[in-house]
Amino acid sequence: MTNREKELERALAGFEQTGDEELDSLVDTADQLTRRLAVGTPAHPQGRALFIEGVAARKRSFMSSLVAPAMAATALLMVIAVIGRSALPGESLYPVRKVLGSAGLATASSDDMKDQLQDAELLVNRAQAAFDRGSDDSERFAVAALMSLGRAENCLKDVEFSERPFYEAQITTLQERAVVLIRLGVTIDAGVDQGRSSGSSGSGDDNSGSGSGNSGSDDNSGSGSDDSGSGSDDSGSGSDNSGSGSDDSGSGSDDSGSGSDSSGSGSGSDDRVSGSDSSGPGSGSDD
Amino acid sequence: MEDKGLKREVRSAARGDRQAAALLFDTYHPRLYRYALAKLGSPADADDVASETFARVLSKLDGFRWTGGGFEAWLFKIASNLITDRYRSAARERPTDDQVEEQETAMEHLPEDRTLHLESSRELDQMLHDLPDEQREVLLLRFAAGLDTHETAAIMKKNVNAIRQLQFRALENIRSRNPIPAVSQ
Repeated sequence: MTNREKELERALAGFEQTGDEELDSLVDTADQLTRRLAVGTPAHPQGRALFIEGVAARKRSFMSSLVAPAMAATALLMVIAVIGRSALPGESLYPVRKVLGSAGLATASSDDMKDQLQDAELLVNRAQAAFDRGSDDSERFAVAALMSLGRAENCLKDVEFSERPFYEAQITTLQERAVVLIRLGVTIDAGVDQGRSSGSSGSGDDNSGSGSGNSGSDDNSGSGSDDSGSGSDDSGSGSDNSGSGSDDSGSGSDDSGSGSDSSGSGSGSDDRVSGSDSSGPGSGSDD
Repeated sequence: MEDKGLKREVRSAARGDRQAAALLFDTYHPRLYRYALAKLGSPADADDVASETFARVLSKLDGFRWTGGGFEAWLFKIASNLITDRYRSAARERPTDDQVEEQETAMEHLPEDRTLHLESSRELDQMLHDLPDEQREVLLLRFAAGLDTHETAAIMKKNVNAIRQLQFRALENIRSRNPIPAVSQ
């Protein structure tokens, strides 16, 4: 930029003559331009009133403009706190839970561990009691206990290092008890199934009666049948139900007169014990 | 208005002070109107732009920060943007003859009538119109809006020296092309 432009700027500041012909003519041009552009302004009372009232309304909204963000921030913190209270280790909000825990606003990890272990122990005890009663619930309780123990394991990494062995031992003990109860429950269930199936063979007289006839076998006397309870129906071993079977056979069966066998076993038992035993005699039979 | 005083008034207005609001309106509405009229050529459009500028000020006052050219630069930047929007929507930059007559008529009703003859106004419009865009903008911001070179620089996003150069050349251009007749005082 040249000095001329600065000089013009200074001259324009006061619209004063400088004695420099060129600058003075430019100042004069600027002066006339200003006069031409300086038209009067129509009154604008409505716009003026609107602006002033609008500004005045800001006074009222000033407090609310402070309160609204504060309320929004508080609500957000509360939501985070509520979600964070139940966050598990490894989740993004878990640090929130730690902070809340240290402030006594959420359960600390060791407390949570104790809760889970208490729940698990209670469930294992219930499973044991259910097993002793012969109730089907034992397995269900044992599985629930394992789930609770799983949650306890998740808390392990966050409890004091010195306390971990103690909690680990408790978890292991309860897990073993729960697993044993589940296994026992499964075994017993299998036994029940067996018993039931053998019982049904006993009751399935009708078939047995005739069946035996087919085989013609008196020999299988009795018994034989079901190795197993399941095969029973086919085996025709009218066997066991001897008594009843015979009735049918007497009447129904064309062939065979199967009533025969009767053998003895007849146990037709419903209960487990007999069910299982029944397999013994059963064999050998047919053919 | 002095910079300190202006800051105080703007802060007061932001807090809801009626008097400060009235002072700002009375100070800047005429200048906004003149600037818009010089650019748009239509008193009605100029009035709209001036009013809309204050409406925008009202809604944006919270976000205003005293940087760059300060409040005046901010105010005229809003007006300048509104005028640009009108150019775009109406695809017009210079007034028609009818609009000049309308402008003349509006001016005749003013108490302090310092208007020129219709012919002189047309010459002035023509001279301004023929200037390069940046030179014309500098003249309007300086002599219609009454801004200083710093404020003009802030609005046009140029440095002060560039604005002084543009101003010098613009005035030279007008003087050399068609000397403005003397104004009767």
